[in-house]
Amino acid sequence: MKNSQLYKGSLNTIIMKLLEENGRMYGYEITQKVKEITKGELNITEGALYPALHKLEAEDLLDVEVEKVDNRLRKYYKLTEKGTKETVNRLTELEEFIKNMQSIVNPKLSY
Amino acid sequence: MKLTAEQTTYIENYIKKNDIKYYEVYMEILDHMILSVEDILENDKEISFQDAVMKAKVEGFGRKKGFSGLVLEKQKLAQKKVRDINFRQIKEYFTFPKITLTLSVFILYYLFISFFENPAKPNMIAIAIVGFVAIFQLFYSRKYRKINKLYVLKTQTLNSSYLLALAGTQVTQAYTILGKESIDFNHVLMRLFMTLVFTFSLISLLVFIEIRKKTVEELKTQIFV
Repeated sequence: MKNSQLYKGSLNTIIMKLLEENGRMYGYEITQKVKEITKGELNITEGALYPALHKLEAEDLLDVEVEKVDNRLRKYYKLTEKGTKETVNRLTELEEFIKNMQSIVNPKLSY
Repeated sequence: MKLTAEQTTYIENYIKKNDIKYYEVYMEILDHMILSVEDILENDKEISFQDAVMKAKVEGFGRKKGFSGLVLEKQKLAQKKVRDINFRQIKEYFTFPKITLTLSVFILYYLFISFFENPAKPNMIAIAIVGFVAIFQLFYSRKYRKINKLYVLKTQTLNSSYLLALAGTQVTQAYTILGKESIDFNHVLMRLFMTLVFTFSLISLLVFIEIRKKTVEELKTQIFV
């Protein structure tokens, strides 16, 4: 992931936000969507994405659906009810964080 | 660009050779690798198929760590999940309404072994019966133990966690065979201890059956055997 130290803490929120917007997505689709939205600036590696997805699944924030596609299985992730509520909380927290960072990095713009 | 059947088989074998021993991880990595290789070949007409596979692995999962980091992390999460579910289910047997069943088993078993002059023998038989049923139950889910020569992580984690509890109760009851001469099995504390071990082994068996049923139902929707 580009500038991994800065983005690392927000990875789960990024995933949850994308799932909130798109309903259900599979791993590769998430990496490509992030690349597309950020015009290639942010590249989530699979080594970071899957542990995050599995952790969110273990916390019951994500649910899994498996489908047969092109003669192989594809695992889709979607938010659970608990996950949908948690997404709102995490996005609010992230927005606060961005606002605070803005105040520190560029005080003029924050007004 | 869609991959050919031979290319897909190459990726399947490549992943299996790279320390992927769990079906759930293999299934997810396979889909990801195929999509990634298709994209690399689409965007770079010069690259060979083998190099594209290597590139997909190194860029996505890292040169050093490869897939193994993912396997270890998934293993840890599965163990934690089984521990949490086990704890939650066992707790149910100590809260209403299931506590009535626990108490009934405890009292009835205590009364049962009190009928005998030497309760060691009936206790040994009772625990052995639980062990026999447990082994039968462990075999019951064998269909979901291995797929395509790869272990199913959920089944394996659940079975090994239960095997540990089963071994614990079976080893604990070994005193009924080994300590025949030196232990007074008629002592009230000894009877209580035997009752406690039996009640625990029965509860852990019931919990295992409940979780195994749920796990198999879940696997049926996620893994197509």
